[in-house]
Amino acid sequence: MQPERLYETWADRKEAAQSYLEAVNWPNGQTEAWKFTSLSHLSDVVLNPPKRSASLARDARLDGEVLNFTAGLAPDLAAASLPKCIIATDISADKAICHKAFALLPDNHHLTALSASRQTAAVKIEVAGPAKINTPLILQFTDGKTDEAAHPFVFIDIADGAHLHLAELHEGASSLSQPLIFVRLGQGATLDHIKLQDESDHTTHLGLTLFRLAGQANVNSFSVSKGSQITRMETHCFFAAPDAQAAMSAVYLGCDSQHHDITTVVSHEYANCSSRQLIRGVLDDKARGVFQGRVRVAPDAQKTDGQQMSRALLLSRDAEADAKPELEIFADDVVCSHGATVGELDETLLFYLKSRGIDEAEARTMLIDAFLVDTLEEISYQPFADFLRGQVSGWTARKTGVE
Amino acid sequence: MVATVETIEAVEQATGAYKYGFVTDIETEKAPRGLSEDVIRFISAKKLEPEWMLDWRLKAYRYWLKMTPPDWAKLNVPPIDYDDIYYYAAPKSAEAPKSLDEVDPELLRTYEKLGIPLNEQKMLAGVAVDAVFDSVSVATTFREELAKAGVIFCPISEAIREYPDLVRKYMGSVVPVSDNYFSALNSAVFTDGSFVYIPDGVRCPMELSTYFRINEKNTGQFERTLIIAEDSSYVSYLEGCTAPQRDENQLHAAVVELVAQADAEIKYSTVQNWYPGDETGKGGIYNFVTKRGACRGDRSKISWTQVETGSAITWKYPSCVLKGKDSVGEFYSVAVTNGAQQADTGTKMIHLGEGSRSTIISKGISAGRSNNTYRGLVEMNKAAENSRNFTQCDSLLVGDTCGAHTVPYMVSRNPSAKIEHEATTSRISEDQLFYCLQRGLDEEEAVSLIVNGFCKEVMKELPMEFAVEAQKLIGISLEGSVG
Repeated sequence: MQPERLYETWADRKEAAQSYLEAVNWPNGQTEAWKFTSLSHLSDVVLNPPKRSASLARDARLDGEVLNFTAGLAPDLAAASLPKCIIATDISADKAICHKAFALLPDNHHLTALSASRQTAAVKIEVAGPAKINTPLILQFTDGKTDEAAHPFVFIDIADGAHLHLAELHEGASSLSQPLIFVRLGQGATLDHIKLQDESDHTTHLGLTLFRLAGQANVNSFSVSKGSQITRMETHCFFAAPDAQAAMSAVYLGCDSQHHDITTVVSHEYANCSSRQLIRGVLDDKARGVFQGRVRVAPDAQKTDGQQMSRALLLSRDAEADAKPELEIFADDVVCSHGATVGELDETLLFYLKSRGIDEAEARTMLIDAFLVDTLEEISYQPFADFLRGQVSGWTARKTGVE
Repeated sequence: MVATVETIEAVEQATGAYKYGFVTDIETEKAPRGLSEDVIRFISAKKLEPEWMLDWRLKAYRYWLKMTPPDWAKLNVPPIDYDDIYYYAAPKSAEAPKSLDEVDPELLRTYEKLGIPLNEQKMLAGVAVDAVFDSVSVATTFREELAKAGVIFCPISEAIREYPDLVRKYMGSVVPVSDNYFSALNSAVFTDGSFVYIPDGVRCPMELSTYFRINEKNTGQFERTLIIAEDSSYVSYLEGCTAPQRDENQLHAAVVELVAQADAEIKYSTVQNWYPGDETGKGGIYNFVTKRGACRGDRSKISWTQVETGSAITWKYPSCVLKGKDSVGEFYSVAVTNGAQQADTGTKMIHLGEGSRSTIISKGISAGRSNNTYRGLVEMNKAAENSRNFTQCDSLLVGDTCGAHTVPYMVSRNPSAKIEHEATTSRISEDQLFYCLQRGLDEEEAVSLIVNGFCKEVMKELPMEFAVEAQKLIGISLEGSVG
């Protein structure tokens, strides 16, 4: 995850990113990291920079301060009423900050290269400590047109001991939506994070969220992917000091001919850190779900605890679930495990429920909910948990016809 | 025959071979260095092959030219100069040692530890054996017994001449010529290997082993094996040997194809202990093997068992294509890496048939500064109704300078199919070691004991002939990894 090359300036980085993209073009099954998700269809899509337009008003479903990135463009920061300890700055003109932030991101990576070369917005958000902020910060990504590509970049810097509730809501309509969110947590800082991907059905969503944790920092992150046509949702976690913890769970809900790819990379670089991931997927119709999870344990990262479990549920004969959990271990005193299962709804459970007088559709809803619910319990901040539970249950109910 | 001479002349002209000391004599033992269509014609001619075989080789070569070496494995492979390799060289008999006194004492010490009888030691060390141990006559006895049962067991070059219909029908049907870079290379230049054919309803009367095959010596770096088990037949095939094997050919790219028809069972066991190179891995063998079995018939079964302790770099994924209804695929593997060895090995289970089942048990042990990766694919296709897979991958780290990696791939296209995967990574605990030490075992014996316990599930799958030696081998492979 460490950069392989040092770039003097942002211009150098941008140029390197552009030549990288030209060399690899859109990755397809030939590239190991994109084995299950091909982006070759993007060669035929018109991808213009977004134009500013009036944002459509959205219902407030989640309490908090909203920053709305319309069509991937920066929000009007002057108009935002953020709490005193949160300072948001537009850094699209100040490339030195972008440059510094990108130096901490993986190099030779398709999504960071895309962001470096085609950024449509760049915002830095500083969270001062140690006062606890109760209002969640909501990054909302909306609108966009079928010939537009959105590449917003948000760099969030959480000071030592500070705390933030952060929600990413991706509900745009651009052809390509490629948000890059980089969160750096200081010593002992904590973050409650959720991410909802519910973009329009013609969108290709290539989201990348990265966490970089200092000592004793703690991240609790949960992602739900249910919208768009083709989704690649990457979450990276980089332990840059000992004694930090991260929980990064995800749920994907696929129907029609959707493609959901959940990819996670956890890099244990220092001792005594723990990571925990629960992944659940439900796939109906001709949907395809992919989970790729890499856990790397560096030679010095002794006493690492890395847990990963992925399960997929196939509701239809034409659905497909692929998984590639990966352990890369260079230290000997570690506890690491991964597990993966794929299957259908248990007929005996279904029979049991039906024998108690519950009709088929309702029984199926109950079983699918039960399959997903233990992951949702991972969310520690209750309003976030309630919000995502509503999203997940709504999907299940629609799927099984039980409103 | 005329065609053969013509071909050799063509090669000679094309390569200007005289300049480089290439002899035109039909008895010549070496093809010129490097790879070209003419070298392939030369190999084919040397083997007295029919036209169709040559065409097949040339087709493979043309594919190979367009391919690139795979780079997805967690391996650091130094660039290989394919034009600096001799693709055909007959064994050099003159250099064989005359007695065990001339053999490297280090090698003999290992034989002793493995408990290999003296006569076999001589044979393994390449001592001219005729006087002491007539392997040819032993092999002939075996052949007679096999012929009585109707089993064909011969070098593949002989099979190409004697049983062309069988070879044409099956060769390349499991591993297509264009399957991957190394299989294409092998298809173009393979020099020898085994051919086994078990007719309908025959249970092969003995375990077949490369060890007893005539012409086994120096089958070379590009070995090709084809095993066909007809309906309701059974065969167990042993490949390799526990004794350390040195070879001047650094690149080994073998292809093994198995075909199991209805109710047939093939059990294929490998013990691989090629030279791993020196401390830095220099001079060690690159073992890039393509092994695949097709369970074509209903209720057919293919079982791979491997104990991999040698080679500087191993790239090997013995696979099963489970096409038959209720067919069964099994993969049991122990891979030990020490020093600077690198191994990226595992399996592929492709479920096509209804009710097919597969089991994968993989035990990886890394020590020294080595890297050991399990990479395995389980694919459930549309028609694989009610199919099952169970995978268990355990890694054991000995020391804190090595790496153990697990990369399973799971593809499920059928909701009634079940895939289960478990992986653990652990190390030899201080408690276990302490317990053994206080019972009077020394550290190396203790590690050997613990590691053998760790891979017991796989070792019990090995045929008797291998089991005891393989256990000792694992201990020996880990020598110098502790203390």
